[in-house]
Amino acid sequence: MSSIIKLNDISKIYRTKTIETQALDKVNLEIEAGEFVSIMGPSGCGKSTLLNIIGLLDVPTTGTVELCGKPTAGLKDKALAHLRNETLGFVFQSFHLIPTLSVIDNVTVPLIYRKGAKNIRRQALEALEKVGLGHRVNHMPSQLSGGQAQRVAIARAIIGNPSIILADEPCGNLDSKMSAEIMDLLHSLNREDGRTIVMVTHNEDQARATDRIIHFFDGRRVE
Amino acid sequence: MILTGLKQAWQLLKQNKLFSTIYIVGTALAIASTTIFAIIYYVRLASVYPEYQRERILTLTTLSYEMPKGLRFTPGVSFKAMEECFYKLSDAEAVSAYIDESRLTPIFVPGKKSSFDIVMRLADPAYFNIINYEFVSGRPFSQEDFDSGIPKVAISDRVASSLGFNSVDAIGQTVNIGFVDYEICGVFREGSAVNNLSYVQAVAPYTTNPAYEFSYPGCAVTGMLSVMILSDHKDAVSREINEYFRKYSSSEMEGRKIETYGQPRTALMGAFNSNAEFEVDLARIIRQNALILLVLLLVPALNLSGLIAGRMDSRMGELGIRKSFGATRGSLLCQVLWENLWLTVIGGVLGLLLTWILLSTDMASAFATILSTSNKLNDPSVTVRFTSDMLFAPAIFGLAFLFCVILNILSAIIPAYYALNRPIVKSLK
Repeated sequence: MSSIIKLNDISKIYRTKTIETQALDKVNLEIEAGEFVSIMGPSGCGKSTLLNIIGLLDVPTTGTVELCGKPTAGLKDKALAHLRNETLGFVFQSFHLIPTLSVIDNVTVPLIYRKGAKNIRRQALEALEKVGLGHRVNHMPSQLSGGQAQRVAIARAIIGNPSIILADEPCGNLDSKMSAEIMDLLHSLNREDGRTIVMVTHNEDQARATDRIIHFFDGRRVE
Repeated sequence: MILTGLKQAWQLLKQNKLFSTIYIVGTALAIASTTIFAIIYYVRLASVYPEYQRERILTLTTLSYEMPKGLRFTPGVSFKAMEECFYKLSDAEAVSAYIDESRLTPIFVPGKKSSFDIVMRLADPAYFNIINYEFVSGRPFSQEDFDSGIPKVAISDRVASSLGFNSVDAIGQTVNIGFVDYEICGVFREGSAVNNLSYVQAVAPYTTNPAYEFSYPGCAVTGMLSVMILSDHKDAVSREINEYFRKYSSSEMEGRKIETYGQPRTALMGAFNSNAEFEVDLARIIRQNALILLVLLLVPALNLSGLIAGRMDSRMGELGIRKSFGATRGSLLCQVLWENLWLTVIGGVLGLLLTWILLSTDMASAFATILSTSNKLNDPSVTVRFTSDMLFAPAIFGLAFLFCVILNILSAIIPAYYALNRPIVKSLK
């Protein structure tokens, strides 16, 4: 199998005038296409920073990131945006739905920025059907429960058919029943659609259900 | 993008009512102030009723010559000069002489003892070929009326109405204007008092005033007439006039020069300065007006910019989400500008309505007095009216829309640029 995500000696240092914080320290990581990987570790160990760097939302201080075999270093805003749009789908802990848009309009967001996208509304409806929310298309985010909001976020993450889904504590704000539903959904996306999923979690049970667990401590991978 | 911007603007409008209201009202006031400015300048400078031939109209109102004791005297043109030179100008399509009453003239309401003041001009029939009043009934006085000095008068529709006549009934009626009885021969649509050149409420033959042939002793080419010329050849007309005065001064005034102050001058120059003896520094006037316009645009733009910066802070998360899913800074900047443009357009429409309301009330006189040099505005009994072709001119719509776009870009681009350059991770926090 080939590596769909490859991190080489990734370090991330946050600097202010008075303090320097090393969030990641020479991290090397390879994730195969179709894998479901969990990243675990205590708060502040650099899990989310790592996910942000994989998702091209942040840039490493040193080291390189390759996605689908392509190096991302030195890419301009437009190329990075294109790569995020085509390759990556994000699921955030706090859902991050746009409050001024309806459910279906939230789901269409990735396709709005894709050149040549057609039948956007139909595709959004299909994505919502897939997460079991085909009956809530015209609701506003404020009218949804936490579980429903996270399903909408997953529909948004998959509408562009990305090969990688990055989930940052997707069940962090949900109760156990809703968490189970969301995890089932992520597993089915991995098994049935073959999507690569990288998930940050604090939950050992959820992590054990994935293909591989990567532990982090103080910005470093620990075995 | 346009539809998305419209939808988003509508949602923002509904969800942030206070922000939207302040933004729209602020925009409306800014657009109203700039549009009032634009309308008054449009009326002063463009070819509007009744000065449809404005760019071809030349005027000469004041001459000057040195008197024997070194004093300078500034009269108008005499009837002798009109006959010898002006009426014979070879490059003029039409030439008219007129006398403006120096003060408002009382007109007496028939059958009553009451009177009111009007702006009256004594002219010749050619005047109506240069200033194109629209006659709602009757016609101007004829060449025969003029030649015979028959007291006929064309009055404005507002004067007719104030006299208690409708436009048709007025024809043939006798009214006393300035203690002379005139027969009303025509009723024309009144123009705007912003226009110094054409704003009159009554026009009668100047031959009804026995003093029209008066000329000043020692300089027979000077008198009490002003001249209006319709021509496409300003330089040739000027040469012919100057040559006439030069010949007269050398033969009759021992070489004492008759000064024309660069007249005849265009209506454009006249719009900026009603006193011919003072030179018009057009570059300075343009600079001053550009500065006023800039302040009218920049002050609200800065205020609105502050408002937008506050709103962008609250929308930082949304911008981060959109960037996460593939939006570029450029596409988001366009989106923010489109959203903002819709709000600005709503403000712009309200601003236009506000402009029309303000210019339809007595406030119009106040605005016009500030922005116009017309000496007709100095008298409190003169009310300024903007006709519909002045208020609803396509150029004004175009300008208002242009102001909207400039205001939108000025107010939104800096806060949007700063918000969009914020790292995605910080936006999502």
